[in-house]
Amino acid sequence: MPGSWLRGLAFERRWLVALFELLIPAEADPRFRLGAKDAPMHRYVDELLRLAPLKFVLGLRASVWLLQLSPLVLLLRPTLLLALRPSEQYGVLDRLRGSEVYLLRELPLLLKTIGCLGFCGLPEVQAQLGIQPRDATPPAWAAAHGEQGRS
Amino acid sequence: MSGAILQLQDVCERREVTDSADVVIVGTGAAGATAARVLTEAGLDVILVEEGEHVPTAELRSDMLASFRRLWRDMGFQVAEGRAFTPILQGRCVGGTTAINGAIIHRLPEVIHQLWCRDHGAGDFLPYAKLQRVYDQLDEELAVGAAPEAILGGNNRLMRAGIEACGWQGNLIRRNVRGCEGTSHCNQGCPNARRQSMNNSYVPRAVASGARVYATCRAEGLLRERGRAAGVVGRFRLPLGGPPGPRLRVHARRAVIVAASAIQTPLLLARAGVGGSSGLLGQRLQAHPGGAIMGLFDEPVRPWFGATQGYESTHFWPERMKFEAVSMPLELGAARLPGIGPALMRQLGAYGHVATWGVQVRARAHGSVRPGLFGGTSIRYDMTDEDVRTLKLGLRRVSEAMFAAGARELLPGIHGLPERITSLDGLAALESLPDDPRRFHCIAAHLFGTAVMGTDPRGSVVAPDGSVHGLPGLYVADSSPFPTNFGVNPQHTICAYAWLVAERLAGG
Ligand SMILES: Cc1cc2nc3c(=O)[nH]c(=O)nc-3n(C[C@H](O)[C@H](O)[C@H](O)COP(=O)(O)OP(=O)(O)OC[C@H]3O[C@@H](n4cnc5c(N)ncnc54)[C@H](O)[C@@H]3O)c2cc1C
Repeated sequence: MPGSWLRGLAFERRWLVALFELLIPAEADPRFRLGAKDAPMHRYVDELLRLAPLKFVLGLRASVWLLQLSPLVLLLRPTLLLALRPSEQYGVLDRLRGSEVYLLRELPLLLKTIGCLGFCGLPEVQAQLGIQPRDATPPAWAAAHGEQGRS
Repeated sequence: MSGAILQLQDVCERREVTDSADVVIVGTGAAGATAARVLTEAGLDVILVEEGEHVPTAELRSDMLASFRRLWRDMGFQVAEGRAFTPILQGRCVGGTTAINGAIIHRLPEVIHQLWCRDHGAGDFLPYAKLQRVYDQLDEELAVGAAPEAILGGNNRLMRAGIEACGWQGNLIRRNVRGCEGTSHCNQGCPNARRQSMNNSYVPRAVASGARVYATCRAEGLLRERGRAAGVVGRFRLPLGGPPGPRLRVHARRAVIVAASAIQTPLLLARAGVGGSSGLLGQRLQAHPGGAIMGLFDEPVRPWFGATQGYESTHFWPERMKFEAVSMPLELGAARLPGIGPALMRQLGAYGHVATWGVQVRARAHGSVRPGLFGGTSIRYDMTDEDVRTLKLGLRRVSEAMFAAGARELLPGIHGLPERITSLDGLAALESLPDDPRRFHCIAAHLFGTAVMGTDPRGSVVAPDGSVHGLPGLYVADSSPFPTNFGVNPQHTICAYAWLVAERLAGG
């Protein structure tokens, strides 16, 4: 595992990837079929957690935990967000997004922002919109082993 | 002496790097590079110390993460804490923030200059006519001119249509770009070196005149000899970590200029134990916090083509606001679209029809900068209620212009408003929202005031000529001494101030 445990445990990294897949789903729009699951987001997560300032990494990890545990408070159910059915997951996230508590409503937004930072940098994602990137080589994290999609 | 840019990979075999010059400058951004340009051409020997990497144009990448990693401070994740978290955006590379900025050029408004003269004694050092003379020369050397029609792109063109339909003053932005190709890649580093940012202009020019640049080297302290600033010590290390390289020890025969930005300069001074007697070092941090509105148009906008920022309106400058078109890279723009999951993806599919225009506020708020934990930075900044009211009014006006330009829907991204608004009536709730910065998503990229200038050492950190009270031979040449913000983009004024500080040092 790249970096020390402070930079994220293996299961937290899996959670992060699964949250990106939830926030950025595939096949959701006829004009835009790709989603996070079509990209090697696990490598993006590794790269991000390895390089980002530790303060940010700790904040991101805390956000993932809070999101995962949110059904406990919002649905009074002892289950993780990622264990819910998709419609329930979006329901919980929408309630968080509409929360009057600043830190709570920023949680999904933070994950969405970080997910888009990786996903939308892929040339094939940009190509779907008609954007021709200046250099069509994929970002370093996506090019690492020439493979695409989940390992 | 022959000039060069050296960084960690060039010196990693050595235990220590030593050098000496007439003047040592910390930072290669707007201020540091301009000072180097003036000093080298006055015949002085100059060393620049730069924390960030030197990234040649051929190594620039399209994807935002790559540029965050190599060009931006803390990968773009630096934030100020207050009621809301405010991203504080800065560059960290050879060229500083000019290597990632929008290339917008403005001069200091005359009324602000008068204020600086009246309240901070700037007049003797910074007469307005002298400033104008330097601006003229900067304009010529940095190829400043209005954004050409051919590379406006949809985002800028629509803003012009909207501003004109509202009957407000607006103009094509004057930019420091030589032959812009409209790639809309300003924030990733200009892919064909057209923007005359410092890495493409004054840094190579100073190197050609003999300056040595030590990049990937963070200045950590100042050397003193016989009660004067006599040099800089630092350490080579890749900005995002990795094993430390050799130490740097550079001697300055005449002066040390700190030009590390309004965030880093007070930290370096504080670490060196200078400039603190007034209690104002690191205080009075001022900014132009900005928010943006997105609009969905029937016609294609294709925000990925055109000058990143090509049209602006200063019509409401007296009311402390300025409007600019801004084309964000997809990676950043997508995150501002409404919704999550399938709703977000539907919106993303329509991204080619989305325009984004920003509001920049000449805020009254004062924040602070001080050393944080583990060698980090602690920034506090909180817009005042009045600043938030200005922002709200600005966002409302920009929304009016968007509808006037033909927007089908607005995507305001403001907590308390619907995610989509189809008419101005839908914006009525904006006014009645609490004046709370947590409802908006602002960023700050123009920073001032953390080593404020003045003639009285009890009420200021530096004299108007940039000399730090209490340590001869030490100067600050960036926007830290600026007593106030000024509501227009600051790089040209930072260059001009650094020019004059250097010119005086060179005996000109
Ligand atoms: C996204 C963005 C867009 C912008 N667009 C515009 C625009 O269009 N027009 C405009 O006028 N302004 C714009 N700005 C602001 C403008 O670029 C800055 O105000 C200006 O560059 C600041 O100049 P400076 O010399 O003070 O600092 P910088 O340009 O930030 O340079 C400071 C340099 O010092 C280095 N440094 C810091 N600490 C140390 C240390 N301890 N040791 C060694 N080196 C150190 C940094 O790495 C950096 O390279 C923008 C800013 C951003 C973030």
